[in-house]
Amino acid sequence: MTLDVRELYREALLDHNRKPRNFRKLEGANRTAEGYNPLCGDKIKVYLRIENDRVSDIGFEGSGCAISIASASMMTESVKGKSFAEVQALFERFHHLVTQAPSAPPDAGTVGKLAVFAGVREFPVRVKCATLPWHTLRAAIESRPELVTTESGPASQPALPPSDAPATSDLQRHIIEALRTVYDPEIPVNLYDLGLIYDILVEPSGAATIRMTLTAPACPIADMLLWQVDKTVRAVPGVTDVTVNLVWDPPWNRGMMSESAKIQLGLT
Amino acid sequence: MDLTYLQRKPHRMSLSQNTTAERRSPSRPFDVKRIREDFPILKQQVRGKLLVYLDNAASAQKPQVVIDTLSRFYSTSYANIHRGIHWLSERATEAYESARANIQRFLGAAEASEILFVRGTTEAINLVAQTYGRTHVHAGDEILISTMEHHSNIVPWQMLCEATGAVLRVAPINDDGELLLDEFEKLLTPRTKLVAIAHVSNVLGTINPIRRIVELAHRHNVPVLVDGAQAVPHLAVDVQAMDCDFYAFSGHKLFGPTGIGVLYGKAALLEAMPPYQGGGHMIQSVTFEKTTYNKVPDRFEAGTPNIAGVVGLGAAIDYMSDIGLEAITAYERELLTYATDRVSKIAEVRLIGTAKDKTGVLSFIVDGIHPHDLGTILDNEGIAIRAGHHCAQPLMSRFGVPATARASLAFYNTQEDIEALAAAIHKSIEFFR
Repeated sequence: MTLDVRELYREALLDHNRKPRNFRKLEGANRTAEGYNPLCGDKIKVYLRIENDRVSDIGFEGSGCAISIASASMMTESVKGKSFAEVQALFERFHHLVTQAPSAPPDAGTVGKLAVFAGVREFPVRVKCATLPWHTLRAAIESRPELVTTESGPASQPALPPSDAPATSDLQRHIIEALRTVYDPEIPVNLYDLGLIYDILVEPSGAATIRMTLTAPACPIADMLLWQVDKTVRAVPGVTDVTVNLVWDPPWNRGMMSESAKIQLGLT
Repeated sequence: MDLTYLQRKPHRMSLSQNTTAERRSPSRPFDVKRIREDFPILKQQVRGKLLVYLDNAASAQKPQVVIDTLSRFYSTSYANIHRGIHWLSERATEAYESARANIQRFLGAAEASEILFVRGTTEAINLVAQTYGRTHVHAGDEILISTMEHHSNIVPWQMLCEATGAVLRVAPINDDGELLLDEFEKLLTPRTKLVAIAHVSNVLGTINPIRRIVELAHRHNVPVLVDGAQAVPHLAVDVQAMDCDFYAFSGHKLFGPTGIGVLYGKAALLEAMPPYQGGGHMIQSVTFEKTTYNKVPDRFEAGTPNIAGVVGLGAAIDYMSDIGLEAITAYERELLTYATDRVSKIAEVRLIGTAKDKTGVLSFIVDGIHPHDLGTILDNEGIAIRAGHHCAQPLMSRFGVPATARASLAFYNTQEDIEALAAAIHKSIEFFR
């Protein structure tokens, strides 16, 4: 099978790589996040100006391959003025576009100009290049608002968490404490502090959904760890049901570890 | 004992100087066309084009004789070793130990017991760090490496330093990617407990002057570990002539199977080292009160080893010895000169690593094209190269680049491969213009 690289590098994509839009440090940004792909060294920093749960302005800086720079550039154009919920929905559609099976018919209508990234799905190793800016954007939205002002001193009080990230409940805290007792036998740090637990959703009924990853896709003890997480969370008083979802996106990296985990592993 | 499964010609069991000289004789010229016939994967089509494999520094392809040896070994001679009192176990043990003797000759080691089988270079270095290092390195001591090391010759020493309170020192290199020997010598102090250095850099191709390095280190009574992963596929190695104390390499870069590697250590050093892992075979007797450890090398090979991997590695070494390391080195040197000339003629290309003495590694960046994008375009042309930091991030920082593209040669590569590479680079430049 011959793949035409033109399908991957569409003209619009090459144009955004040559002349990235919104490629600047945004003055007046109130949220930022940095994304890094340790595999290829791509680095993206996203600056957001958030007003009333909307992206009122956005900029980015960084270095990377044509796919990641063009993706960041086109993302900034696509999300400006959108609400958090709209951004999240667009990310999901974009993610679907670049990861769905190559044989599936393209589902371009809903992502607008971002459809030029459809070719990425034919090149699995390049998917992360396309999604890195989006993960960074999501991290920026979920980050603690950091006031970039002329006033000195740290931002005193974190604002309310974003609407799609509810505050931690007592039951969630108990689940976290329970997960701190689960270990990968090869790593002397518990799963929670390793950053393998991506989120814990608890419904009013007490049904818990754990979204988690593992340090490596070929983890030989994956089944055992998932079983252990299920069993441990199920034993927490108040939990009525448990669903454990194993995900590989975003991929785990060392930056996701808690500070204490890094110290414990001597990585600071 | 029937050793036909190893496809040995009778003389191969004892590689004398005479037979080596015969192989070097001009009556058997280096014939790359014939050699390519030995590698079935080179007939592979990639994306509709004939494979051009230029990622040999990451891992090398396997000749048919290695593939067949593995198959034949499993079909006719496989059992656990050093344990069975049965015929098959003896047969497997014989194959395993004769490969050890084979590798001893390949490295020019004094004793077969100085050859330890490990998973690869990484494990070999970790073994030295965790055994020799743990017993000889203390708080305030120093371990000396160089800027051009692979992560596997950096991280095990950082871990040792964190555990012991020792300090890692790094000898600098010049802009061509050559070690600054004067600076290296200045870093040898009474606190230095070990030098760990690459024989050949995986990114730059630089061949380090190991003999000179060992001489300087020994003058300060400092032992030297040599990371030979990128050297053994290209250069004849004689550990006694080099006088290094440890030498590590991986089988998979030497046209052998994955998951097998070698640590050479001088007998006196190995004998004084504590075991690495506990388990079966590394002990003489076990009671719950006390365990007596086995002799060298068995003490360092706990558990059932990669038996078939060892046998396959032996076959790969036989294959290389048949061609002759000198012939391989000479051919690759000529091909490197051709490739360097061809690629550096492209105005947009900047070569990283221009040492006078180097193996067939071309690391480069192309103006305005990220190495990953270049890698994708080349892949589409059927050309396999590596793009990235090559597990040598400190070295990338030294040259101020996040990543490079790297084409790395083996003796089965040809001038046609280089032409394909150059043409694809031109195509990429046009594409991203």
